[in-house]
Amino acid sequence: MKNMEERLIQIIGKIRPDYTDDDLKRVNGSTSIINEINLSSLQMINFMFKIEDEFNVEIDFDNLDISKMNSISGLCDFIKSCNPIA
Amino acid sequence: MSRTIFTGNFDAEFFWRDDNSSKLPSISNCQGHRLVSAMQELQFVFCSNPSDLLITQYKMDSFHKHYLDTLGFQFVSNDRSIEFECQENEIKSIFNHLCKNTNSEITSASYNAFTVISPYAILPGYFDFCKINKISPVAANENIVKKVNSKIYSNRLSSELFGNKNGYVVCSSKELKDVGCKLLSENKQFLVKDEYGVSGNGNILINNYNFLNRIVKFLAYQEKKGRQTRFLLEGFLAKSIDFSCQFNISPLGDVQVLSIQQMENNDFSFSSIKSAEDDLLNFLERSDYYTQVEILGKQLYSDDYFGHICLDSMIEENGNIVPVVEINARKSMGLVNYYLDKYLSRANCKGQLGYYSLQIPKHLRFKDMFSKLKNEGILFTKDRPFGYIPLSANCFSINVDYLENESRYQGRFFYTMVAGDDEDKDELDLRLKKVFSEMGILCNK
Repeated sequence: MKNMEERLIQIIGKIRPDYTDDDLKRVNGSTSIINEINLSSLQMINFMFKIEDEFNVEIDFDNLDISKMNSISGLCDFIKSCNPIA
Repeated sequence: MSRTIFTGNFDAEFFWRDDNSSKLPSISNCQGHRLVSAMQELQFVFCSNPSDLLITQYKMDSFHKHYLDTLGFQFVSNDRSIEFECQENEIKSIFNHLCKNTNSEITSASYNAFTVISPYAILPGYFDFCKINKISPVAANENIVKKVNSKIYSNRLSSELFGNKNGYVVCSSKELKDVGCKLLSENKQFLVKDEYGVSGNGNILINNYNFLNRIVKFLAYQEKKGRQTRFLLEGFLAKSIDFSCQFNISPLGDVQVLSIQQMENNDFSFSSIKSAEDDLLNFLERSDYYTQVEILGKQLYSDDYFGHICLDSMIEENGNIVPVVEINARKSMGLVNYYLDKYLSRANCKGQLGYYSLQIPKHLRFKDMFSKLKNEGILFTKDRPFGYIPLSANCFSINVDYLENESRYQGRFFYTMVAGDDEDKDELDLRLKKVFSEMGILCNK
């Protein structure tokens, strides 16, 4: 079973269909979503919603701290702190 | 010749939006906000007189300004940046800030020496700024400007004037669910449009029930906190060509078409733009599009608006023209490109305006990029009118000053590309990407 980081990287691959396998292999726990993956605003929303579906959580957009996007591992910690979908 | 002040925010829609409106999910990003503010310097293209003044939030880079001067873009700009806080709940327009700061805090040029102010958009503080500095405003009332920029207003005119029945206004999460379910049951994916969204922010494409339910839930939560829901739903049309018409409505109601621009959009955001080719222009002429523009202009005037318009239109895959996708009652990137092409016409050429979203290593600055373009032979100069004109230094480098521990920062490389045919453009694009790669810059168009 894939770990959380691997599952997030798979989602990034779906959001960025222009990414090659090599591009995805370069993504790791310390990769910054904001400064290295650089999703557009719409891609970012799609990414968040896919995270909700994948991990069965609900993201509070009003209180979302963008600094959580500074690394994949940081994002994993953030997801673990989200409320599960009722 | 009258001396003109050019200034204004590029995210005008943010200031027209009602604070109590519910909003679509979004992620606030200070780096992104700064990049939009840095775009203000693209207004240099409007300056036609060396003593015209361009006021921007961030002081223009003197190296870049010197380059523009060598190309023939001569203008005065502010000597100091205007300090803003990145706090979403109290963002003020540049006019509010100019009213708060004294003239000399911003620029050594005296506002009183100017007779005209040409804003990018009419925003809060504009009329106050004019009054304080005794400049006669020539602009529609702020409330009218706000009204005609609403997507719901665009939809109403599209329906009343041209019979377009593709739009539905929803005023609650429940209505969104009802209308959305109906559209999905007819296999129609649709857009949810914020009344005052712009370029990628404020449009969401819904193509499944899960996504619809998530958005409904998101809005219902805001309604419980007292917010008002008001969105436009539009069936997603199979598009062939996105284009826009820049026209001006004079204070006396005369409609003057300035240009037609053909756009390439990326996820509903502006990506690149070029002046329309003859094929498209002739097609629009044969299809009576300009008559429709005239009708729209007259209606806007009878609704008390005059000034700049950027009319977003499209051609569907079946060849049908949709004249009104969106009415933007302000200047636009299309107008910027029109002015760039006016400049380039002196050298018998045309450009394509676009940008790349970049993740830039923290040791690099605009000057490094500029030098690399020059060394690679793809920097446009007056003696060699071919290649890229970098249109903004601050859009490239502004975020480097706000780095904490990151190794890269977000930037945008805004350019106009001057090349021969499509093959030349493709080759030039490859050479630019090679420059990015050799500098270790990651790019995402």
